[in-house]
Amino acid sequence: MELNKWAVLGGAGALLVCYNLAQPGIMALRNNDEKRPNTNKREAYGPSLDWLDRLAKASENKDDNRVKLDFSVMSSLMVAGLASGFKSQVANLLWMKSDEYWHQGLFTRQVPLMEAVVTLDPQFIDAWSTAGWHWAYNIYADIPMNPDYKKKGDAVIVAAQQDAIDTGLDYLKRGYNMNPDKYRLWFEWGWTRAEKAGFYDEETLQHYRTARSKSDAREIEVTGPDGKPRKEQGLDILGRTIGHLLERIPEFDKALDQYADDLMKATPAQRAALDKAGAAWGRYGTNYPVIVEVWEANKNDPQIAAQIRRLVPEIDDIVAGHAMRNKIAAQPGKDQPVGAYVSITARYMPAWKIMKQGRYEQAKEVLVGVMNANTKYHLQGLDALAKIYEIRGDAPQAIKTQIEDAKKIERESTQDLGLHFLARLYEMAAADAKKKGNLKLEDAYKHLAYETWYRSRTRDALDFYALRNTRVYEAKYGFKTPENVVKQIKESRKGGVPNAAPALPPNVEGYYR
Amino acid sequence: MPQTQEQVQLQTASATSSDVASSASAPGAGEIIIQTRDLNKIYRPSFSRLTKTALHGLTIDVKRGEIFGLVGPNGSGKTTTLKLLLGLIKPTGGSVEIFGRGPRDVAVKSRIGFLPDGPYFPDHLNAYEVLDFYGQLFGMSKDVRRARAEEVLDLVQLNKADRARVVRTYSKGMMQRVNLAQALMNDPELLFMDEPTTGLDPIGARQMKDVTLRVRDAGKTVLLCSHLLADVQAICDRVAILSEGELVKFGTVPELVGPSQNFEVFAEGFSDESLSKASAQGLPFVRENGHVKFEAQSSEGLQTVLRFINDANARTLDVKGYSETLEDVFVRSVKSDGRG
Amino acid sequence: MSPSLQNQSIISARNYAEGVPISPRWRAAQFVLMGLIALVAVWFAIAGYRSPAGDSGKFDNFSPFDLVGFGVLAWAVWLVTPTTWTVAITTFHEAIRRRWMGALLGFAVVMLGVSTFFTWMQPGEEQKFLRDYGIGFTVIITLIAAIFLGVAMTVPDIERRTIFTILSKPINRREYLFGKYLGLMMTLALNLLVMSAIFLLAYAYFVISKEGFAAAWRADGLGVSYNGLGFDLSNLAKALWLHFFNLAIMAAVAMALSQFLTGITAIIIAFVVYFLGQSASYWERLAGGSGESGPVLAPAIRGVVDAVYFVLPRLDRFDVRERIVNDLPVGINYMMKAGSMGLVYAAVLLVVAYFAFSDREF
Repeated sequence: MELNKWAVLGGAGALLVCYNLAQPGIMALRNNDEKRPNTNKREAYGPSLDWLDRLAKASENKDDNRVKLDFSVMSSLMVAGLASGFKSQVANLLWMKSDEYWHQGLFTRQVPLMEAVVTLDPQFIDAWSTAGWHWAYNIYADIPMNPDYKKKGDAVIVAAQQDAIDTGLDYLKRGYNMNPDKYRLWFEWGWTRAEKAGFYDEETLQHYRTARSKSDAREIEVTGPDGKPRKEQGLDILGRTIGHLLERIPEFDKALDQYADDLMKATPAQRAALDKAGAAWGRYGTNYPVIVEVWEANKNDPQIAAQIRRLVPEIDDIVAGHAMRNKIAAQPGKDQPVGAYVSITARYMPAWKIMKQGRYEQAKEVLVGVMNANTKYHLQGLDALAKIYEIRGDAPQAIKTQIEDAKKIERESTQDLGLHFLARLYEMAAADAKKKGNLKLEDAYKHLAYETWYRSRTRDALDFYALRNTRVYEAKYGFKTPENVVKQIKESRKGGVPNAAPALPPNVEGYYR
Repeated sequence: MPQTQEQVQLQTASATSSDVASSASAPGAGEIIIQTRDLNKIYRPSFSRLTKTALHGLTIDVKRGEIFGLVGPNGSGKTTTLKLLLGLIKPTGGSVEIFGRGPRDVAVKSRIGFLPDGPYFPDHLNAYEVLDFYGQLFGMSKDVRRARAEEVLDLVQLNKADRARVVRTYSKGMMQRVNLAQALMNDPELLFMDEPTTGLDPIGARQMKDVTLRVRDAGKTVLLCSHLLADVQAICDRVAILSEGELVKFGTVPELVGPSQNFEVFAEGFSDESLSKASAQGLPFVRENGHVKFEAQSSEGLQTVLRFINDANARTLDVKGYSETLEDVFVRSVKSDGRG
Repeated sequence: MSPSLQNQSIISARNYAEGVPISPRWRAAQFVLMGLIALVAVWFAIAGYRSPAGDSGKFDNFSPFDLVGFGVLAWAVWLVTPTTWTVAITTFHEAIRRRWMGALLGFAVVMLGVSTFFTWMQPGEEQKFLRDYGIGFTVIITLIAAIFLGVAMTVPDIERRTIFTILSKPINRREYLFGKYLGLMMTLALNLLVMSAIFLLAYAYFVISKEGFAAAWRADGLGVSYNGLGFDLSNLAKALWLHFFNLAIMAAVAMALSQFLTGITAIIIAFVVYFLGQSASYWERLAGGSGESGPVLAPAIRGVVDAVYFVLPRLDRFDVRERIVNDLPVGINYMMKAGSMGLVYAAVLLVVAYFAFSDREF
């Protein structure tokens, strides 16, 4: 009997050995780092434990990470939760704590907590997104207010802010690597990079496209007819964002293609019609539909119809174009693209086409004319429009106001894209001059570009694209701030809307050094 | 009480056939079915060098068909012996055999029944379910279990109305009946009983005694542990008296108790003269209720008294002989450990 | 007089010389079961060890030690005698009857049933939260049940001395102990089943209310359930049932501990073992088990770490929430490997428990 018992114990020991010997097989399945085909998802059954490695390495001071990991704020409940495999619930609790700190304004304490949260629960998309936003926007804005930074000087502040943006981008990037099938972090990375770091480039575009390709990119939550929330396919916001990026670089050809082909799915015939509508806008201003309205009201009256036809020879095109515009805009989700298409065609395509032919000076004149609502280059048909108002029966004072408004609208609305376009124009002219070997001309154009970027950034403090470009010029060529231009723009603010456009096409030779 | 019925039942069940597989237990009255040799049990609690000898060198045997009494004060080793016999604890030395096998042998278990000193069965069941559970452990099929449960409950006289109630609601007497029922469920050849009449009212105790006797009469063997020496003396064939782990007396009741030693003679019709002669002869007497009581310390003394009465022309009314009771033997032999 | 007593089936010395006999029908059933287990083992060795479709398959592996678990299961089937089964059924009924069990289960059912209401805690991630919550809650409740019941398996019998009457019947200690364990596992399985059912219903309700009935079942990569509700439900069910092996081990831990320690101490130590087991991967990192260079340890400490690691139940193997959260299928190959090892470890513990119990004196 005694022997039997010890034999049994020995058997148990053998089983324990077998148990241990079988572990590598299971561990292989748990730790495998292979990605599932067509996705970025790790096949592993076990969670990624590299946070533990980082923790272990951190104790040796080898910190190659941006943000230190800090679990010191964890309560014993959280430790128990961590030990028993409830990582994501612990992450939730830590997240609530981080929110608490946010409301108390304790940014420094928040930072390691956010890192802990995303480390514990990499599928927590909100955490990645908020961390990224927090660094790129809040901490960025907080740095110049911070007395420590203030006394170190501007250069340090700028560098620190850049670092903050980069940290935010890093979070978003790690986030989309962990959650490659969700659109959100891809999009946010692109957006932050473009709108905060100021990179309007192919890489940003690539991220937008990737985001757009994800299956949840158009999902929105709506309240159904029964009152309960439901997920539906919503607008193609990302498609629009791509268009938005392209038109701000600017790459108007590509932007128009994006709006027309990708978003509107317009046929060439439809595009041609929209071009006509754009042309109408360009000649008569945003209120050109009045012409159509008046026409429709009076076309059965041969006398007035003839009059209108005399004033506006291309009336048929305008009517057709506008009809097409309305038709497309009526379709769900297409009103914004069609509006963008027509407005770009109206304001910028003429100058763009000229620039593409290499006639930079002429393009410059047209563009500056457009930005100043100079009827030589833009809104050439305002007189005719005035007459149309008369036909409609408006009072002379009203007509005058409407005409002025048309100009004012164009002036104010073309500054945003117009300045970018102008700066880009100068850069292309500079490149062209360099190709032709005219270094002095190149230098002058570069100065002009720099100044134009500066105009844009002064007009709009949130134009980080322009901001970055000016910094690039300053760093590369040592250009200095054009103080007089800045002063001019600041003063124009007192009139309401700042006017950053150059009043006249600048004389290139004036920029020779 | 339908005696005949039960007797028949128990008799039929006790029929054993000749090709019994176990080695040394060929049936027949007087055959030894429990044998201990030098049985020792020493308790040593862990982390302590103190030892306690609960049982020292116990050598007893129990024969088939007898009622064997195991008596002793608390702490004498009774319970230890019982547990050793049931395999609940292991001996430190010596050996114990039941039906020629070790006490933990499962084959042995199917032939014994155990009535412990309390209702140690699941109390959230009703009487049927309790017996059903134990019946399953014996491997009885469903029909057999059910039938047997009814029989046994009839045997222990548990009211039909109470049988379906949860045991927790029973009175002490009812619980003891169920206790006995589970001990008899398999109609065992050997029945262990530990303080079976504790907590029973006199009627219940009497019924318990009757059942015990009937079980013996049906050819079973009973090992009875009890404090109640009067009962032990009344029904046991052989008795072992334990004290502080040692066996102090072992034998049949008559052997232990011995023949009558004291006599009381009741007589009447004496003259004063004759009585004064009694004192002169050294025969103590007492006057009671109009008669005279003489005491004698031995059978010779008795003869002397009877002769005296004869000579005095008196009438002998009654002669009573008293032997030592078991209790006297008990008290004389043991030293109680005071834990009474 | 009663005919049944003249039947063979009543105990008589001749029939039960070797204890309660086992009917041929019982043996046949055992053989059939063992045959099935063998078939499954063979299938696993030949094809079952491959990862599910879509995984690269580079890490598919088969080790002969995986089959040890099947052997253990077959041996356990062989050990179940009718007596064992009796004890198991009785234990099962008794465990279910306990009031706190009912309360625990009721509480769990309610919490899981209304789990969809808690999704406000992580807006935008409701579905992920729901899955985590459901699995996590079920894990905790069944674990508590396993430990508390496991400790209360043999101890009350001993305290109330019911064991006296039981052990005086033809049952040996192995049958008793294993019967108790089996009854405990049946109770836990029922718990797990009920809670899984409620949770899966709640989850299905949630998805259907978000997507509509028809859309929920389509594997269209859209909406709350990417791969369709059918996939989600089956995946969640697999994850929940993998936890069963966790419970098997913890129940065995509790029963083994209760042989050596008293009630509360045993419960506390059982929870400690659970936490240690869940952190097995952390130990692995420290012991350098996965190839990562852990921190350098003094040899003595390393020895202790290695020893602990050797004996530790690797309980985190049964946690596949990573796959659930990523919408990847939980493979049968993984379940079999992990389950097989779970059974082996439970067997080791039960042997230890038996070793202690068989010598116990009452």
